[in-house]
Amino acid sequence: MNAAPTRRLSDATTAIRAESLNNSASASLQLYGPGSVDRLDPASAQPPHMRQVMRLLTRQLLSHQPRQNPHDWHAVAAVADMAVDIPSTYNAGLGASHRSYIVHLRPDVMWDTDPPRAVTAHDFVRGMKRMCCPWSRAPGLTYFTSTVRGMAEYCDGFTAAVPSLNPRPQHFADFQNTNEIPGVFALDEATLVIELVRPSPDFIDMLTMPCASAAPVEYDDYLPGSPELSRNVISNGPYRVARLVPDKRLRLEHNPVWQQDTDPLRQRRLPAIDIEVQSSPPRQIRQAIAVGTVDLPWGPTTGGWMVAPISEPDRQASWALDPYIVFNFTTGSPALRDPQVRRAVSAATDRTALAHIYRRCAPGTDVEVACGVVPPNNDGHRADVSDGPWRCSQNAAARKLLAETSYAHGLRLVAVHGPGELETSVMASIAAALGRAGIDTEIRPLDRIDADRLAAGVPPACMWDLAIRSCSADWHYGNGRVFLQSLFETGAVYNVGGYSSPEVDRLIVAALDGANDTPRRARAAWQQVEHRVLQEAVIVPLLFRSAPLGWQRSTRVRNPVPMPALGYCDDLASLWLSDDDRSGGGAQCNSAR
Amino acid sequence: VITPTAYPAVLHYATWGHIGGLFAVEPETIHLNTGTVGAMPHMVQDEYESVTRQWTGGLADIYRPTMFTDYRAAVGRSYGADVDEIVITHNTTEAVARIINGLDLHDGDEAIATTHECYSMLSNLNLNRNRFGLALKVLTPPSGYNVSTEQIIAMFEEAITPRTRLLAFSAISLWTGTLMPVRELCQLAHRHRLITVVDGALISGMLNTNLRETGADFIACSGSKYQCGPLGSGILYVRNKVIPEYNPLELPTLWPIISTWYPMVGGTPPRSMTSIESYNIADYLQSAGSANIAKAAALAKACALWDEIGRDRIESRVMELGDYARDRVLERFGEQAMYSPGADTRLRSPLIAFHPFRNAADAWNVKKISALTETLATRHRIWIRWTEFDVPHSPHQHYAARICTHIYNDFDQIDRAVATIADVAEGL
Repeated sequence: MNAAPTRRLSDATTAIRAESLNNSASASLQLYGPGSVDRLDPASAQPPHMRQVMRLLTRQLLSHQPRQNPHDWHAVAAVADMAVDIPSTYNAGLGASHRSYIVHLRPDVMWDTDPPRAVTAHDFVRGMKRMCCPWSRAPGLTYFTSTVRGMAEYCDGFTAAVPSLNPRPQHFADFQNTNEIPGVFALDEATLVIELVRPSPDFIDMLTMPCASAAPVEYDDYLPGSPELSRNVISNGPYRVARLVPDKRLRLEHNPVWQQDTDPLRQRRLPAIDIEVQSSPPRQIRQAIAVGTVDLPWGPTTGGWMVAPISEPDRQASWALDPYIVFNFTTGSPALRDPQVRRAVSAATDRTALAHIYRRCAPGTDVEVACGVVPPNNDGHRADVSDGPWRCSQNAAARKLLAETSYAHGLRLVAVHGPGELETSVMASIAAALGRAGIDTEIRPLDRIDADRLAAGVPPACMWDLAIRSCSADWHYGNGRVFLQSLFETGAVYNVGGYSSPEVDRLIVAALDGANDTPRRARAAWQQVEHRVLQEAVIVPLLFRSAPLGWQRSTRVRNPVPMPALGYCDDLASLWLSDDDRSGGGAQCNSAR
Repeated sequence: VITPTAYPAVLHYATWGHIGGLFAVEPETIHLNTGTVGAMPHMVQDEYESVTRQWTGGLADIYRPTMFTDYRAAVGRSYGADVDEIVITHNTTEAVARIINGLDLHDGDEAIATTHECYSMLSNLNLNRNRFGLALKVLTPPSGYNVSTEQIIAMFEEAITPRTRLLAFSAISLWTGTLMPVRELCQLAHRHRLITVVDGALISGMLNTNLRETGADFIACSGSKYQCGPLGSGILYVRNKVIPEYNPLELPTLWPIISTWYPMVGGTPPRSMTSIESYNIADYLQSAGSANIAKAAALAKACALWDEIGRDRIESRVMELGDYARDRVLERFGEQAMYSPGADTRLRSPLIAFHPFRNAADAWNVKKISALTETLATRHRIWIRWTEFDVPHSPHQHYAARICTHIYNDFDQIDRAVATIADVAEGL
């Protein structure tokens, strides 16, 4: 076990330090926009833009390197971060059965504690356990529970052990500290063993996810995912939290114990980073960037709303499913349990009209009508899908489908969406199309926090039947499972609607087992899952969106490196600011320079 | 041309102490890792250097000699095979890759192998799976002192289906040291009309083997482990005639995938149906551009030296030392520590893999086992290795200490090594 917990500097101390630096705010990088800043627990589900911050505060065993050209294969290949090397058969990190990984940790990576303390293999074991916390489940949890030996059972035990109402931090800590995941253990301070239930070639990609970060023992004092933990998050990356005002602003300053020579993937070239949460319309943010009062937008990448116009869509990077309609299978209208109703919604939707809206509101990316679940440039994508949805609204077909249900004489659904201009327009178009097919829709915009939570996979607390979401790849190569397992497996974090089908679960397990088969058969197994969920209209895929690769940036931003692992947001560890230009002329900085 | 040896057949009667002096092993070093690389005899090194000098700067035609016809004939004689059945390769991996990828396997065909194969076998089978759709069934063999021949044969037999085309296995597992029942497994394959590919990396130079009599279709051997030839040398046996008492099946189709001998127009003659070859298939495999003549010469020299000492004598000595080492390990660590078989003497080899620590859970502690071998090498100059492998019904990858005995070892060395391993393991 680790040494006894040590407390960090008090909140008051950090606030004073932050105030003293506020006078030199112009030296800091300024981000501004509607994204939230509240979820700094690495084990919590987070919207993609938050990964920019998590990359500065957390180290993983494996991660990605920033590359100027995001199409360079190095940009999507996992590399060693806190691990000394990628485990393989050549460094005795992976046996012939491909079910046992040995990870050796770099020495001298420190937690920002007082006194500073080394990050150990035990901290990674704790990090893996915290993923299973029933209070705040990690986004990649479903990948891990289906892959790591004993992790699914650990999750079940965790859920049973912790009270569902008003749990205290001690409940979580007690379970974690008295129960082990059989397949995850530390041989010593610097060596971690992870055993799998089946060979999974994508396991090294899973280890790059922020949820697989180490966790210090101090986290036992806080409710997982809570604002208290966010305020007291302990960094082992190049920056640390200097001040967090929930729902308002976040300031990051240098982590004094971080050492460049222990971190092969990050740099520290900014004195500080200030993020201000503002629900301003995109044009106002663009204006602020143009005049140089803001350096970068801050908020959801959905729709690429803050991306400069492009002449050519990107055809190499992996595309996203953005948007799609998710149905509320658990607390929504009983009508949604009838596949014919869902098919009617799918038939009624006019995807071509939605593509026009996207092109108008989000000119920085290209979109295509979604022919399936898996977008282009991801494993298992099918360009020619005969079982996919229609391109245009098929009112007659939709009415006919509805007529075969017990809702032939009318159906009313509650649709929720994020507060942005794009989401509002998209939902209005969907509602109009559904209306023409005989489905009445009540539209309820979510507030910014709920919208961010929905993006992170947390269902809205309000009553809802339909929602629009997006889904992008958690990794970009050998990623057959990322869309289909995370959206459709029972209990998966991104399965926001709570869909559950033993048949689909069985197909997913078969596809996971198929990872050890030929690539063609492995792909076919995932396509079977896709075929099944399309047949059942479990979701309604609407559009595929290309990667946003031309973010709006102020002219003083230097060395912007969009990273696929960050949803093509810039790596804030690579950036620096030019002293000679603080005003005017917001620029589109293309990625390939 | 093989130069006449300077060492007459008197070596057949030489003491093991005298023979030990032929090898380039430092006196203070105990080399118990021949399963990874053997110690080269001085005369083999001399041969390598002299042939290298002979060809260095030469402007002669280097292509014709690189067919290695004489060297192959000589090596073949050592292993009971003809020149048309023997290829001198870079190593076992190359030989396995040439065979697995040269076989006429198709989508839906099934291969059976074990998790205890060398990675070179498994990676090439996987390549074939990805390329052609070969179905791969990988079994985890039993390990431990009481494993029996019958258990192993039954494991393979139960896995065979009507789709099975290929049985691939190691003659000796490099992980556990199990000497597989090669002949019996080949006979099993014959009954089911299967092709057999045997990883024989560890048998060459250890056992007095007539490769043809095993009944295997292909045997890939190392030249640099027990045969003590130069690093980067290997021997590939390719069955090229039908001798019913050994293997009654027709010869499998083999595409010589790396070849400058394969015609640019037309193909090879039909394969033989009798005990007389229809063509020299080994020439097609051997001829692949320029090659290291010195390496082939040195390998042939090592084989000639083995013949002079006597391969039957070498096998007896190696196994005697192996049995002695097994007994010492048993005494010191107990039967439950053994991953290598012992009760069934047919499965014994001079490679002994065992768990050297008191705590059973240390069997999956790679740090401890690597610290053990590191300490033995750096502090005591005892060279062994650790191996990792699956054990049936265990969720963990197991790690074992492995010692290998060869003719340059003696009983005192084994006593010292086992005692030191026990002491070091206790202190970790």
